[in-house]
Amino acid sequence: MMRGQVVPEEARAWTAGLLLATDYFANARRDAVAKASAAIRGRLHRARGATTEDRGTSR
Amino acid sequence: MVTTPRSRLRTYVLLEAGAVGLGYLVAVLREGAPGSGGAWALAVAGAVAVAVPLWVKSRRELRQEAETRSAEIVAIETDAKLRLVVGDVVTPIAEVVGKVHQTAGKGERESLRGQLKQLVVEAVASLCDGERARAVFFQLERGEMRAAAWFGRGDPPTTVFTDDPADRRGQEALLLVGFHDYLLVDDVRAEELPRGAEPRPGAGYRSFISVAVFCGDQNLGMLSVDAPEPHAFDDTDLNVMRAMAQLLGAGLVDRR
Repeated sequence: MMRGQVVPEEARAWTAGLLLATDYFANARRDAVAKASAAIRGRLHRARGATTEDRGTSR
Repeated sequence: MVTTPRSRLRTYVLLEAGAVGLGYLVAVLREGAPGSGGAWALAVAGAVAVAVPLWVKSRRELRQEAETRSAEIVAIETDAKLRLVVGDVVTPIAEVVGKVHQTAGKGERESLRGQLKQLVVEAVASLCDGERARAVFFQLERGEMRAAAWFGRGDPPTTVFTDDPADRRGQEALLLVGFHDYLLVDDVRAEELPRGAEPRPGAGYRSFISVAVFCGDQNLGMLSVDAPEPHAFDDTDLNVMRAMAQLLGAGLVDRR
């Protein structure tokens, strides 16, 4: 389950001018790369697992 | 910057080579060291015959691993950009666009619109791939376009685009807005550009994207991003620019 704010506090701080764009984007980019990395590696890992299982069942 | 975990493949390749080498040495020495020049030549030829397929195999495996890692990095960068554009930029900016139209007071609305222009140029300069990119929103007022918001490298932009017959660049920029067009130029020095699209003398950029900002039939200005290096922008950047220009247009348009 996942639950959270549609517009997070940090994004609101940027749109309200309370947070510099450079800081906002540096943090956002770091978070996005970390999440993307976990997501892509998870997908690749699952794909490799599925391929191995397929090989096992086809014998 | 995407980092990848350290590979163990090199270690495995070295272990495999060591084990095969040791096995070959034991096999050769089991019957005693070669006694003649011919026997030594035979032993060396055998070693080469064992080493060549091992070397070819390890090179192929290392190359395959490098290719897999490159593909993984590209996939991560693409996914990260999508997350940034949709989650960290479009979502909060759409909220500001909504607030612009909810606000009753004219002063407050204009303040929010000023904020929106600044947010859009900050987002564009940060999202587009150019090193040291600069984004500018040229607002159209009374037939002229002047910089209303900018972000990124360099000095504040001073260009004013007018409809004056002597201002060919101005006329072309106004036509781009009038036709609701975009223009992506990979290299202003290498490409043959339409008249009026060439940069002013001494301009510090090599590539740029300009997009008309409009909503319905209201023309509102032009959003531009430029970079000092050629080929700084691609199709994805163009699509980011188009989306941001439309969001900006939705926030700046007047109620009829």
